[in-house]
Amino acid sequence: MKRSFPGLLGLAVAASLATASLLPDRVAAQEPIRVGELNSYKAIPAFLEPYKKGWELAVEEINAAGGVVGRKLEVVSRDDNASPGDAVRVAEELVSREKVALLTGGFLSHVGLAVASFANQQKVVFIASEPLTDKLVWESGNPYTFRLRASTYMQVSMLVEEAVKLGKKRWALVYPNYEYGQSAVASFKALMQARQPGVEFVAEQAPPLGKIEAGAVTQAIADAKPDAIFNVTFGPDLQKFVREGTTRGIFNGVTVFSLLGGEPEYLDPLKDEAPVGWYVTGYPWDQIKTPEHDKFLAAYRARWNDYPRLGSVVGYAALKSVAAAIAKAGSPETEKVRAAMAGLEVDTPFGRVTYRALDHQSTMGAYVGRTAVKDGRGVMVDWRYEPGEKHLPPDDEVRKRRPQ
Amino acid sequence: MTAPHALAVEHLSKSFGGFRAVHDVSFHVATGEVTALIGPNGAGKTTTFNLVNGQLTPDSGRVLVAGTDVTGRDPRALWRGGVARTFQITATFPSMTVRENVAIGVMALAPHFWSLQRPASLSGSATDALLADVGLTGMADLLAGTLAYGDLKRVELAMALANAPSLLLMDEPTAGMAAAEREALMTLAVRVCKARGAAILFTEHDMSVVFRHATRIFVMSAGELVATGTPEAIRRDPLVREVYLGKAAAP
Amino acid sequence: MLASLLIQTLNGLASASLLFLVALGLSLIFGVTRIVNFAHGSFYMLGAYMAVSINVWLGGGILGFWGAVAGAALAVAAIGLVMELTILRRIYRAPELLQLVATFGVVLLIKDATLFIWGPEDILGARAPGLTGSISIFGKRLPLYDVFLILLGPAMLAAIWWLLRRTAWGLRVRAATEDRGMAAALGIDQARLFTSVLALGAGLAGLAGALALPREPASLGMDLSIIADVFVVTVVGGLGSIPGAYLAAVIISVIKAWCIGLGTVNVFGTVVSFTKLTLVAEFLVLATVLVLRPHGLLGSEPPAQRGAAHVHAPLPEPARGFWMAAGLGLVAMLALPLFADRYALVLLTDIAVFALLASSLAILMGWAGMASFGHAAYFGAGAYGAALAALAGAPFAVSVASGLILATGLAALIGRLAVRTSGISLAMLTLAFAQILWAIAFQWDGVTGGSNGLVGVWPPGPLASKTTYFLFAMLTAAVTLGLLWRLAHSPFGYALRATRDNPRRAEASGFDTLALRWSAFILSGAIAGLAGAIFVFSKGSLSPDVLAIPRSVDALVMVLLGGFETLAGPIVGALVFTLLADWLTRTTDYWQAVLGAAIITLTLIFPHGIVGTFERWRARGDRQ
Ligand SMILES: Nc1ncnc2c1ncn2[C@@H]1O[C@H](COP(=O)(O)OP(=O)(O)O)[C@@H](O)[C@H]1O
Ligand SMILES: [Mg+2]
Repeated sequence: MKRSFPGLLGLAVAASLATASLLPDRVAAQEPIRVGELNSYKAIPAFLEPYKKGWELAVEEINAAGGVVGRKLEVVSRDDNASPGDAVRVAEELVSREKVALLTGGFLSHVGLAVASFANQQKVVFIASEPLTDKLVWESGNPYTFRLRASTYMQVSMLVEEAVKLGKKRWALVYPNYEYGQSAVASFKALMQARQPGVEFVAEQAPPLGKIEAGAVTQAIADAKPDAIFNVTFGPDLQKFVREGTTRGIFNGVTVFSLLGGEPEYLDPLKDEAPVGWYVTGYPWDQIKTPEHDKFLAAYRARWNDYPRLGSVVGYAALKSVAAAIAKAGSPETEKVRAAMAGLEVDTPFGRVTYRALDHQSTMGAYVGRTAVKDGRGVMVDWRYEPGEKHLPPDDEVRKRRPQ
Repeated sequence: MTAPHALAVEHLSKSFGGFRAVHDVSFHVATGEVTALIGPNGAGKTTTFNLVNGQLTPDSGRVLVAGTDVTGRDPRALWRGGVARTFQITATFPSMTVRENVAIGVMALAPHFWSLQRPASLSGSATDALLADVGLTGMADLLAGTLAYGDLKRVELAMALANAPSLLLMDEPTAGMAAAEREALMTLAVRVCKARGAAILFTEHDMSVVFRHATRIFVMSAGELVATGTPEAIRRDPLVREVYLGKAAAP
Repeated sequence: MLASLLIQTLNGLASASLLFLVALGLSLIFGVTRIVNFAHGSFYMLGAYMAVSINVWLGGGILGFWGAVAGAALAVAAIGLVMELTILRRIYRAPELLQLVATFGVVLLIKDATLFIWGPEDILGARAPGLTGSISIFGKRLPLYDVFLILLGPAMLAAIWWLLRRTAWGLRVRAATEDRGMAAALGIDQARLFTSVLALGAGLAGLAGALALPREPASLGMDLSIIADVFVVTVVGGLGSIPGAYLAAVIISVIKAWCIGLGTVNVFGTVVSFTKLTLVAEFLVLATVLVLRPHGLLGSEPPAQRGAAHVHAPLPEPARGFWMAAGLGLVAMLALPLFADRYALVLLTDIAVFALLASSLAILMGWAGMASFGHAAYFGAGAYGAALAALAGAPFAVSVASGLILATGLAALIGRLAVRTSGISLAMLTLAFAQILWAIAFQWDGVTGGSNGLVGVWPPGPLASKTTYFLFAMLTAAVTLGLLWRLAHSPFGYALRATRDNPRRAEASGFDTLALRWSAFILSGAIAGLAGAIFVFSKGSLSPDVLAIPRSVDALVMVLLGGFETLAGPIVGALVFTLLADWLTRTTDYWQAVLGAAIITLTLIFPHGIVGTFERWRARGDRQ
């Protein structure tokens, strides 16, 4: 038998690829300020496609107005493959090869936390737009990471405000079995017990994300005979839950609270089957009549010939935050931007928000209201804007949770 | 005390879910003796082999190798105890060269699994001697998977002989070969075993091969041993004729 | 209480029917073609999307709904047919698992195509006209559609049973399932049979997708959320056993429904959430069944495949110049920091890690002939072991060693149970254990950080720089792989391949095949664990996804793409796959589709993996 030279030919095949990937394909241009954006576009397209349109619009507006500190803004966007490991590598590519000034993006909490840890180690500013986990700015908070959206805790707190008014005693809880669902329910329980002594939690269902057995879950909830339901499921899980629950009549005479349930991403697919009378956080885009939102809505429709989803607002506001930070810092230099971020005020479609110096959480709020069906689609009614600052715990409690 | 037999089988029985494949079989093979186990298809020959080399555990009865009771031991232990076998469906390692196949058999005697070196037996004299004995020296570097069937049989023979066995079990060694080849293979097997002092127990359908090489013959039918004797005696035994030719042909 | 239990049982039966429909197709396809069809979940998803569109096109109503169900089934059957004709037909002679890689490419392709055609938003399909109401049982309402589904399962079982037992086509299918060589000898036109089975199997998945619409929206996650369950059902039932598949679907669905019905229960003072058990219920069932009955509930030992069985490729000793060349290559790698930018080093660190992971899997698949579908278990264990030790304050070397030890221990434990089985049973058993580990990491907040995982696991001092860490990873990988390559041609390597080539011969030649296979498992787990430990310090954080199915699939794809019966194959596979994915995600929005197409193309050009196929070409050249 002849001795062989295993793999050298195969290695040659890879070589062409290698040259394409391993060598820098272009030298970063000096002119524009580059911003690194990474997100799980393929894994969460329902939220992130509108999100992308949002930030693209923002970049166009910023550049049309002359850019920031005299330079244009250029976003280099990447898919993180919904994996923390890949996200860290992509972040590295953005920083070291694309020479971005800072990072933004993120949807999934575990990916967001991984990028935050990277940002801290590499001393790069990371403006996390969407990851909702409380840990991002509290337990695992770090000096380089900031977060735009109202966190899980804040949104729960907004709903609790409504819930205590109703004084329901027996509560059933449904939540996707991962950190977001778990911490939402933990916060809900803690806040409810503090504000409404004697409250009971009679059923707790934690289906795996994306795999709810809706028939069995709704039946189990009905069997517990609750006065009210607190739901944290979203996406396809929520749609299954609504349909099964309605068919089985389990929502009759029961008040339902649903976190994120009013976001167009999750409400619109239900069309005329959207639940009626649920208390939700969300985004009544067609009814908000503030100058800043009108302006955003008009621009968005003109640019994309589509209406905005909540993701659009988050993406838009994220890039506006980036621009505002660099403008305030007077330069894209990391330490200056980081200093500027503390207490930074940004105008968003939801109004002016502030990135708190205390914990790097922005005060962006959310809309709280009830669901209804109008013209064959789900809408929010009786809504109001809940500012984020109202729903953050007292400062010393935050200090206790955040490593100083 | 007389020297123990290479193999003694006592009242061996094995059933598969109520079906008696082997029932109360006793026989022995003397040291260095060449014996044949014959019988029609389904008689229980392969099952008997599997019981002897430990691939199956008997329901009852004993197997003694060189006087030691080895009933219930696994094939590995029997291999170390000096029992080698070839299979009805030739069993070699097709992804390896002929030399590697034989060397693996030799290596198993002293594996040195912890070593990062190539097996010493790959270039060892034991391997070379076995290859020469079965006439495969010229094909040593060919892949076993590419060999002709007859050559493969010889590879398996060399592999089986690697542990210098005192007993070699050969299950239908010449099945699927041309008449001339059969004779040559069996002659080869008997010659190398004689030289090494190994006894042989083989099954075979070609009666000319059986009668030429075996000094004693055991006849099985429907799981039972129905006759034992020299080729001459077996040839004349009416019962054997009945077993082979069916009841109608019996006088 | 009893009424609830009954209703929950009925809920389980309704879910079981859909699961069974999808599993049915997979089981038929596997039985006849031996293809592990990863794209089966994609067929299910396509069925749902197709039905949505066809229903709208037909104008809704009764005709629209049922017309859409039939139309979707036919359309997806056509897609299955096309997949067979254009891709699978060309690679039937390749090692069985390579077809898994090709179908994985199809998964990526279909996913992006669906996104392109139907957009990102979930689409809630129409309900079945006439079946939108509910019936009342003990004062509890059960949707009429669920009643329909409950009856549908046994009806389909009977229909397929009739098809297989009472038609000429069914006879051919059974012949091919039971003995491929025999079927060929009987003059059955294999190509046409395979095409028809693929079409029927795909059509059944499409039908299930369409029928699922009244219960679940068409969404882009449908493919992967069902595929693992369907594999589990097929294997628990016994591969190729249709009644077994139904039984397994019922058992799994009903257990889940009961867990949900039980909810949170106080057992001797501790609160047990049975609903959280639904996260891994199917895999707990799978592990239990396979440990007790390696061939599934109603399965029997798969027949030895005559003629069609894969003949393993030889693993020749490396040429003399090889070590020199490898050494020079390593020196070139180590000199890279002088030329390349930091990202190249980070990317190469990843490649070094994946080369280790893929090579560790190749020990099992290539040398020992045991496919593992759950290799992420040891990778993840290495990562968690190292991270937990580091967070507890252990020095770097101790942390890496901890990861290595945890992974090795787990491999020893899992391997002990797994090596007694073989083939698909073994592969699925490893998957089950990996999923159970994943679930533990996912749920054990206090230790593993739950679904968020652990952060802040960076290497200390001198290793903190990307350059030094790259050097460390590259050297560790090189030394490990060098030892591994030596081991391939040591007594251990030979003995292992002997047990793979012919276990009976190996036993008869004095080898303890079980012990050898077990050692291979442990060695493989140790190296995967080392890879995991290096990985976690290069990323600074980890989450349960290091243990999850996609990680295992990536490793499989790398090994098979490179050539699983070669030494360099896994490394080339890791290199090509990582670079391809990295390059494509940066180049195009539809990177999944392009990556899928690239994977399919590679399997068609290199049916024995890149290195394996080159070896064959070279061997053929030598002979001429
Ligand atoms: N593992 C088994 N399970 C069930 N029956 C078996 C098994 N092995 C052999 N048999 C049956 O035992 C009988 C004897 O078989 P065998 O020993 O192979 O016969 P021979 O080798 O003499 O042709 C046959 O009828 C065969 O079908
Ligand atoms: Mg036989």
